[in-house]
Amino acid sequence: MSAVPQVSFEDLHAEHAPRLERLCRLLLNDPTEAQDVTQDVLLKLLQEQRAARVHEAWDRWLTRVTVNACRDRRRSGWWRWWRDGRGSPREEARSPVVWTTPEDALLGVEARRAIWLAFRQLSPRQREVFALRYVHELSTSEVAATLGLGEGSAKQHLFRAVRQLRVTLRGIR
Amino acid sequence: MSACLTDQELWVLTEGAGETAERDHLERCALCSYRARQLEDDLALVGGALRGACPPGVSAGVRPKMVRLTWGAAVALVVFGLVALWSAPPWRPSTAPLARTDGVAALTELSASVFGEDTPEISRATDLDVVATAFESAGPSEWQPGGCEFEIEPLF
Repeated sequence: MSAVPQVSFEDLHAEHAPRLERLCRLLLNDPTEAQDVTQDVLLKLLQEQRAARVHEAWDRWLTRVTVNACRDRRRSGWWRWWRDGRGSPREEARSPVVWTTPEDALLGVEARRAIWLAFRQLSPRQREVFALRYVHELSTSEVAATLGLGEGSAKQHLFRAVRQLRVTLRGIR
Repeated sequence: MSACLTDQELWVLTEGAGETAERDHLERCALCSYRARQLEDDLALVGGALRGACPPGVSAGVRPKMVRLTWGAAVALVVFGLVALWSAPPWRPSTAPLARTDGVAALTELSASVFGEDTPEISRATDLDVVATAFESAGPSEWQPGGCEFEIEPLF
């Protein structure tokens, strides 16, 4: 068995931090919370590195830890919602626009908003599978392995998400 | 295979799975090919939009679904409680005999059935003296105070 090469924290941070924050923003409703969770995950990564634990696939480990952290954050969302002033509107504009893609330029703001809103209407599980499959471009089997699902179950969730989002797209066109 | 593919079959084929017959149909059928291309375009579009920045106004004031459910359940519980209080009769102290009285009555009944009138008199502790007197008056006893009725003559 060949030894797994050690990767520095800085390299992993540079490679994965933007991806993880994007994933958190897809799975959570609040950009500030997404940044918090990303920092938590990177802290866990640092602890793993200091404990000299080596994972064969850091990207999969990081994705799994991020998804679990987002689930925990969602579960405890109700008391934070109460504590923080019961759903006071958060200014999305406060957080700077970090990612700009060619699709952003092609799609109008209204269309993008409709897609995001439709995505937010999906169940948490559907969001997870869709984000990993079509935003992070993992294969269906990788999505299932990352989320600890059977491949058939992952496909079911994925197809339901696709069907629901396409209904929204028909409304846009 | 002559019928056109369903949306799910099309999606499975775009995922690289599916049966050979379905794939053959997809290659032959212009409509299904068009639908498959449209599906791929849609997925690319949605993936691209989600890869980009979150547009303003999407996450403002969005409540977690669980919070809505929790509040709904709490309100339903309170309403149910109020309705139950409203419809329940007013409380009055109970006039029924205490459970202890019932217990005593049951024991009395049990005692009467076990030690009833038709049971032998000996079973009553209070009639033991009467029984003893009747027994003594029935005949002379060898243990009467006057001594034994028959004298035993000495053999030698």
